[in-house]
Amino acid sequence: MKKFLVLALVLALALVFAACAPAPTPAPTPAPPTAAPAQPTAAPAQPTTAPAQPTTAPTAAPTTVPTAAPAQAVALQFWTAQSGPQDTALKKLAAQFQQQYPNITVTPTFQGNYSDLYKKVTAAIAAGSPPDLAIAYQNDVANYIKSGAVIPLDDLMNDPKIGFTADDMKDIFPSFIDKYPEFGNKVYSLAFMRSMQVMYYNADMLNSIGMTQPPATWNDLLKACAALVKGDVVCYEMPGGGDASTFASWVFSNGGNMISADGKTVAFDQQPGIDTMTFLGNLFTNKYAIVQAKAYQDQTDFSLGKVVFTFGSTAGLPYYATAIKQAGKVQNWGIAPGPHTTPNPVVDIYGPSVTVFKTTTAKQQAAFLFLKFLMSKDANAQWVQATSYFPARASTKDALTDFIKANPLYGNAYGWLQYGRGEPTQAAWNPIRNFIGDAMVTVANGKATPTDALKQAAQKANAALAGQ
Amino acid sequence: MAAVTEKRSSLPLAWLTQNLGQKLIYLILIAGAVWALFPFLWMVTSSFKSYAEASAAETFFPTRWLFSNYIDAWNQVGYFPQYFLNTIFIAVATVAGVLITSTLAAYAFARMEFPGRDVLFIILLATMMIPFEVTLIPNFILIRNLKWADQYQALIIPWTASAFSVFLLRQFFLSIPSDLYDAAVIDGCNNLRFLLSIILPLSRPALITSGLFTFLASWNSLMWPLLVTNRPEMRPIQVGIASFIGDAGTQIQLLLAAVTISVIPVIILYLILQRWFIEGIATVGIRG
Amino acid sequence: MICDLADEECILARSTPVAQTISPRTAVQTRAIRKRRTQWSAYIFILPAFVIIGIFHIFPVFYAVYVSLNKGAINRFAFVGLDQYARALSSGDFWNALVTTLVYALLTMPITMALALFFAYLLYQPFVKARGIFRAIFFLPYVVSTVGSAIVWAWIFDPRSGLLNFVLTRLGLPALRWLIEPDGVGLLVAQGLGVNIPTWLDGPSLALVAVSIFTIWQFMGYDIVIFLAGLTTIPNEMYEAARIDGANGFQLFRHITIPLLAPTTFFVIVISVIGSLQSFNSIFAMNQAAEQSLGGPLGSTSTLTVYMFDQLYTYSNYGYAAAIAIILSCIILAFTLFNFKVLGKRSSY
Repeated sequence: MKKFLVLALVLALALVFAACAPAPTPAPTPAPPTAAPAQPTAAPAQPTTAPAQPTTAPTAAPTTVPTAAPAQAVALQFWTAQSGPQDTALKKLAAQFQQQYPNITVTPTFQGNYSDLYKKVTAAIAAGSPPDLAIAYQNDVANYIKSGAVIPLDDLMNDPKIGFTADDMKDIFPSFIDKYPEFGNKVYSLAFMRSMQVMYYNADMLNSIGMTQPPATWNDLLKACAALVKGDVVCYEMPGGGDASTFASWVFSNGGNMISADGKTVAFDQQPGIDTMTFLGNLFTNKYAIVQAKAYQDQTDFSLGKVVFTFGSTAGLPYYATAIKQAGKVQNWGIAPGPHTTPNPVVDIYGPSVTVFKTTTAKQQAAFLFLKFLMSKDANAQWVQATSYFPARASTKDALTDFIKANPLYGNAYGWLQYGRGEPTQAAWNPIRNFIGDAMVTVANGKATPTDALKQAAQKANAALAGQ
Repeated sequence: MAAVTEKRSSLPLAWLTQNLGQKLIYLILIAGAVWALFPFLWMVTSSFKSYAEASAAETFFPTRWLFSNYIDAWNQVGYFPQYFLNTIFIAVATVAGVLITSTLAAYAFARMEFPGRDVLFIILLATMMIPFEVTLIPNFILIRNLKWADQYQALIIPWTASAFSVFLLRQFFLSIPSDLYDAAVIDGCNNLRFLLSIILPLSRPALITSGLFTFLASWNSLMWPLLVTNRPEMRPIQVGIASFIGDAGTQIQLLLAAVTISVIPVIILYLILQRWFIEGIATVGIRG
Repeated sequence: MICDLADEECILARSTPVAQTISPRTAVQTRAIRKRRTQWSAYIFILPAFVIIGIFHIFPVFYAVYVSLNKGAINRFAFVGLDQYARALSSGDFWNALVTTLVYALLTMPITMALALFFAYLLYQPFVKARGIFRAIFFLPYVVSTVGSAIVWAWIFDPRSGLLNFVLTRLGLPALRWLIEPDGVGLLVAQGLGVNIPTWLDGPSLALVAVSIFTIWQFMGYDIVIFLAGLTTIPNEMYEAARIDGANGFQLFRHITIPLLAPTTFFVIVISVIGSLQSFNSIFAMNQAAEQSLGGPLGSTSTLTVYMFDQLYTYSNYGYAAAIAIILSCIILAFTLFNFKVLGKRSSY
């Protein structure tokens, strides 16, 4: 029996060998023996030529210039980080777009989460084969600009034939048009979705201490904390790596800025920033706050009535709603812009944008047309209903009456879009977010005073902005 | 068969008074199994919970078993059947490639004399020392120049040779008594024959081990397939799992359901291979 | 091309009683013959593997070396010579990451291997029934995709409602913060005992220890499978003979299992050194599941690979990241060569 098995295995393997030997067709195996040693040496040389003439690839094409919609069929690759229902919604929109522009086919492709997507785009840029357009955060776009892979959109936006009209520009929220001070203050990306950093509050608990409104000042918030924190209940849960967006929204609410007007140095170490960090420190020294040890723990604990306030993205609304409904422990809850010392509330608006890569003029125009379509009222309204993001235009609200009726919290937040501010678009802002997060963790752990932690973060940040 | 069992019962540790010692060993093994199994079981039970219950993670069993999670996960990914077929095809092809290239190379490194052998072997091993992340971009460029994007060869060929497997098999080939080889050489047996007819049958456990690890590495890979494919029809199972991690929250119960789904075929495969694992040469017998 | 090697004269193909035919004397003689003969066909044997490895694994090394000599955007490099290396070697973060890497390897490797050998040996005892089930269970952690298991382990480590703290507090021990604790374990123990210790005794952060526990859980089954495969190559006759000579169980383990398992053990050591020094996935997944920044809290789980990853994708410092990768590879290579020199010789392989 065993010998038979052995024999069978040997025979099988022999067959595999035999089968493999005479079939050198699977291209790679036979050819490269000699190429293999040659290639490694040849390839490193290849990129060296790139810096010399980085424009070689693009310049070849742009000679044939159609001014309006493309006469020839154009196929666009649109790389996204959108999966599941969002992916479905995007594909639907792409199909609708093609009905309007039969010549243009857009293929949205899920490329993993934002960091996977960034990796893939980077690799594609290195290989000289970027997509036609891609979803990206602004700091990532800044890196694409550095490699000369994406185009400024100002000309296309101002183009009399295909650009935005003056009415469009009035309708579109400024925080959806990304300007890059590092690169001539040009627009390199546009957004058709944004979310907002807001405060989620447990209204049951606030009611129990006689607060009918969410706290609008920092002192009110601390008062609520003092009254409600006991046993299992805390006032705030900070993500384990800190949370630069919460920090930014607090600094904005304190009337401060994250970056100086010229974009060369950070501004979060000024008084509003120091106040913010001190406030955070107080939350921890008073034991009102804890550090999260699980992803999205604040959402979960909020639904279980274990945390009074959380600060997070409106994109989390569906998750909160589901968890709260299923857990059945919280009856009344809401969102608010959070405490502020400024006359009006200020909210931090953020989210990914879309950037257009340097390809051919026809493709670039087609890509812009698609982007414009995504930002149009009807398309944007469909997208919003599928995702609960905010749309690019004020007028989209008209198309969302039913949706807002069904989602009153979303409707509230829509009203705060006018108070929106964005976080800096500098390439260095990626690491700077980490410096801020680390400063928050340092303060939470009592390893440094708020001022010192902030100073240190600012120092590193300024070095990063100066471009190491 | 009976004779074999009898012989094996006289292996070490039988010196522990039969029953007491055996019980103790069982106890330790069960403790170890609990430690290995518990997190996995918790993952499986959580995959039947509601979103709220799964993310709260306060209980082991769900209050209500939501089998619908599996249907939801399956439907939400949309491409699950295709993902499965792709993953299985890619993994099997990769394993076949690795076993062929590694067996040959390992044999040469273990049994043959040739100039530069040790240097070449170290060079081979050194390729394991470069972090995967730095190889992404150059390999992407290669794939693009070969025009392999969105094709199976891009997902298979780069991984059909593995320093790990060569090294593993070499170690096992080395442990096969060299007397066998010498006898074979005297008898005029050439290397390939010797490898096929003597070494391979004796190295079954090592071959299966190497194949299993290759299979798993292929099964669990995400970044490389994402990089070299655009069409969902070409993608493997891990892409499906990744799609449950959102930007503002994770549908944890669906994610865990998808992970569980993705593990099932591997467990089945493992159980099939199980009996091949069990007896090595100790029972297959070089004992003529 | 392979078929050309087929030798018609091979007598052995069909014969099975191999060992019987060998007398010690002929073995010695033939070994002498074999030593002298260079077998050029070996190159054909290694060719397929080297073609693939050369293209997809060695070429990228050259590319990485090239990138490490440059700075700037991914397609607009500017040559800076060895600046990136100098920068790494003069960076505090780099040295911290190097120390963390070594500590992490020391925390995970020996324990994983010892546990694996222990369990493999127990599993291999002939009386053990349901061996297959046990082996499958032990191997399971390695099979499950890290994303999923990291989530479950984050629950277990949770300071507020986690299983681990539940057990600790039941045992009358203090609850710990595990994955979010940047303080060293030495420091924590000292604080618990109310004594002061110098900073260099702080030890690795509890977060790193927690990640290590996760890693050990993940990889124990991996080592067990290799050890088991190795154990099966030890002929029963060896044990038989020794037993007849009156050896007891421990002596059998010490004088038969250990030496005959040496090639396997050596393999596991070499692989584990390589794997643990460049370990990334376990740490990354755990960081994410616990909502830490990469290498957090406060950089205490930032190993060299994690640090490199951060430089690559957060900072977009391609040249610097490549330099770190090359340095790391050299370190691993040095360890591996050392293993081959010292252990390899001692285990005569």
